[in-house]
Amino acid sequence: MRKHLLGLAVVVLTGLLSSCNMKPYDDAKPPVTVEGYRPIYLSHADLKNVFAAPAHTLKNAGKIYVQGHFVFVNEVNKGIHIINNQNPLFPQNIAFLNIPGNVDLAVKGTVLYADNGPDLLALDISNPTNATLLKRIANVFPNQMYPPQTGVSFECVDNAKGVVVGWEKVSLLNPKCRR
Amino acid sequence: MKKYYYLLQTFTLGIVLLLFNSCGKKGDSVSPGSNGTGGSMARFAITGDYLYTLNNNSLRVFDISQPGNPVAGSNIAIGDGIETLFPYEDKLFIGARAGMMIYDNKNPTKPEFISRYTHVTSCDPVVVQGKYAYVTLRDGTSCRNGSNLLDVLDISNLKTPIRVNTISLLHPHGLGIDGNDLFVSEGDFGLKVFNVSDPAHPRQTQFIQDVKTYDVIPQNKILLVTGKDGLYQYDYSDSTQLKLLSTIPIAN
Repeated sequence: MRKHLLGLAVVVLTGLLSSCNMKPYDDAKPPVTVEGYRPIYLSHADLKNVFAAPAHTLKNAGKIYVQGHFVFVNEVNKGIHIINNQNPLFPQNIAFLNIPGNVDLAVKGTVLYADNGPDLLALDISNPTNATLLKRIANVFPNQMYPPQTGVSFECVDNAKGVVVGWEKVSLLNPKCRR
Repeated sequence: MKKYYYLLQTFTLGIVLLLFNSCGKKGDSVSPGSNGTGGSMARFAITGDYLYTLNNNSLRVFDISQPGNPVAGSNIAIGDGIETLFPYEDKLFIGARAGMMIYDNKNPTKPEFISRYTHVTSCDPVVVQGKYAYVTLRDGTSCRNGSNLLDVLDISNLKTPIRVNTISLLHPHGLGIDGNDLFVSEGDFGLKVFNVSDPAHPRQTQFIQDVKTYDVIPQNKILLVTGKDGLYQYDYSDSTQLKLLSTIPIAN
């Protein structure tokens, strides 16, 4: 009978641990170092650092978008490169939009929409080398509260620290979150 | 009377020519209001006066009828692991880790769920043409235990997409379709071109192995390809023999 109960307890515990919800660990446990994920933050102050910059070398490319003879290339979490592609034999890298936390974009006419962490921006790109901010809609994209991986431990997200722009695999001491 | 008839005819011809002319200019940024095209990995997409955005587990709509003044609209919960968004006619095709979802977009302010095609957990962008959807599945850390495949789905009945073909791939990422040509990024392995004149049975016509690829946009016979090391453009007028036009290097 006791054996059965023990078995049941193990099953229940395993079920709890492997569920997708975040389960805080028991603080009384001795310190344990485990492999896990830690959020990479972008501070709320840095997030607002949106400006039109001179062209620079493409790096760490993400999404692409075509509008007319312009090609837009996202640099993951940094911003958007603007390429004049009037002649596909000689595309010209003409400008960079510095948009911290940016990964996605779309264009309608001369307005470019981009995510800036939790905010959506509308930028006037009628003069692509001198884009200007038309509107910011704050807090429409909520923070990513857990890493994309499952069955892993992670450092719980602290919204006060900023916006989560990624996750790094590190050794964590007593991580309190798991999914 | 006849004179008036001729006048009318000339006038009509003029209008028609004007219309054709403006069609030719579609996509040029000088014509305000025209929408651009994203890659298959996109999570932002514009159809008409609406911008659709995917974020973690929801689909959010923005009214952009005044482009410079977007207004946040409904936010629809659609589940975990959402990856990509592909608008086609009045439908939205959403690639998620658990499969592909179709949303009806007839009421653009409030898309409604139609169906879900589920498969093994993996990463999967989707593109659509006519009655067929093409979905790539790949494995990888965040994609968990996926396989590397191209699934062809018959979506003539949107409520019950049926898989009609599966092709083994190496490590597919984004894909793009234009007419009879389907382009599939194979990650570090290169770029594959398939002929889809028989849409249910893509036939591989070319495999370019000297590029690392992530996503593609085929448009007006120019294929834009991004990868780890560069932004490449190919002329695909002859889709059995893509011609490299230019490369912009990408630093890592």
